Amino acid sequence: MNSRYSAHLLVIVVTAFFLLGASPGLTGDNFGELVNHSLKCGVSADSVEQVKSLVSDSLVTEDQAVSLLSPLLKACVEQLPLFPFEDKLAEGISKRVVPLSIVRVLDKRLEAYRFARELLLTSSGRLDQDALVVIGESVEKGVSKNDFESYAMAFEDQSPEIFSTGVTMVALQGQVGFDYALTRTILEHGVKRGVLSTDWRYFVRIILAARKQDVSDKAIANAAVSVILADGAISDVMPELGFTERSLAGELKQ
Amino acid sequence: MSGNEDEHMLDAAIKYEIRSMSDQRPPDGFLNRVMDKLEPKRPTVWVRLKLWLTGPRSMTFSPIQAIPVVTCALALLALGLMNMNYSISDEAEPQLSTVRFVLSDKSMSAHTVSVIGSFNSWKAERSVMWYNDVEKTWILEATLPPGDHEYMFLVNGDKLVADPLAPMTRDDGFGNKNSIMFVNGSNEQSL
Repeated sequence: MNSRYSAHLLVIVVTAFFLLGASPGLTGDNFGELVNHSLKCGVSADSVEQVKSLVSDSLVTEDQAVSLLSPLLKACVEQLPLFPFEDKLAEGISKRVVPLSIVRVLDKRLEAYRFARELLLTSSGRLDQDALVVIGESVEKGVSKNDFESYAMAFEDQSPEIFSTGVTMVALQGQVGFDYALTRTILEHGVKRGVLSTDWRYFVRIILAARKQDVSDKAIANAAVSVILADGAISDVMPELGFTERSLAGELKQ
Repeated sequence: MSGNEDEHMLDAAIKYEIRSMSDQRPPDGFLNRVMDKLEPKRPTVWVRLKLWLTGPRSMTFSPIQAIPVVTCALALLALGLMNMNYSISDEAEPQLSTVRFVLSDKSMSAHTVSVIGSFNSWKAERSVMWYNDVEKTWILEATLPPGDHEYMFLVNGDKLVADPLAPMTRDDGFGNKNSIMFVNGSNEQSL
């Protein structure tokens, strides 16, 4: 465990002590207390107001409201980025999802972000917020933790920009079931040739477009590697695959 | 009479004699001789620098000599201002890209359609689409920052519809598939 990680944990523990120590408990029945603690910690007033409105409109009970706000306060106390949690709460409320389902998703997200934070602090030692969100979101969506651990070990010494680009590729390509071994091959060649610009982070768009034309994942990866070895750009991959017109809708014409 | 009283009387007598003495002019050249024998004190480097910087200076130059100097100074000033503006705008405003949401509705079966997504806090009233009679589609143009944005169409205020044209979808955890809009720079919706 490196010293940055230890210091980070210490800050979290101390903050948690002060913010939660005197509270009636995250599952207690004092909604007002929880609202005050949440606002004091830094949970956005919009999120708190949304939950309060649900209570005042009798759409949820105070106990349910406590359950909805608790994951946000936990994320705040643990110094995780709050926006993903506030956004998911807003999404659930907007889609009129039952509170229990929202809480379940928020708790799952909390666990995913804890994993992401630990991984980043124990590998690169940097708590890059973009990488944290990307890993957290993807683990929540089911991308293998092993893929991220493997990636972090292999690329921990890269610059923040390259590390962030690579982690986004692992995340998005993992979400569409693109084999991590293929992603890693592309990344290794890209890093070695020094051509892994931020444009590559959305390589998944090419994967999805090419798949619609029945191009295999292996062929897509090979095309990417060929382009990289020729010091080309991501825009050269589709021509390398034999396509001359491209669109995100996947209407490819040869 | 004690010894102290004798001393007081003597002091008083000396003071009286001094006060009653007439003024004498010093001999000629006395002041110069004294000043010549004083050791001059050299100021420190910092004191000399301060004196040099704060002391008035006179400069003379012709207009033809001043032109290149003034030109260089103005050029440097303009360059500095340009860099300052660039860095301020670079930090304050992320590069926004214009994107277009489209939902086909040939029979205009929907009364209202909105886009709800991570970019508008999932609030339908912030992104209401308009119906294009010619194209028979609901349309909304928006400017978004770089990132992969999740969204859905909200039809008639209660029906969630995924974008059939979206390149990618993502499980929202609530039983729906959010559509994904990739924004990576100024030239969006093309690779």
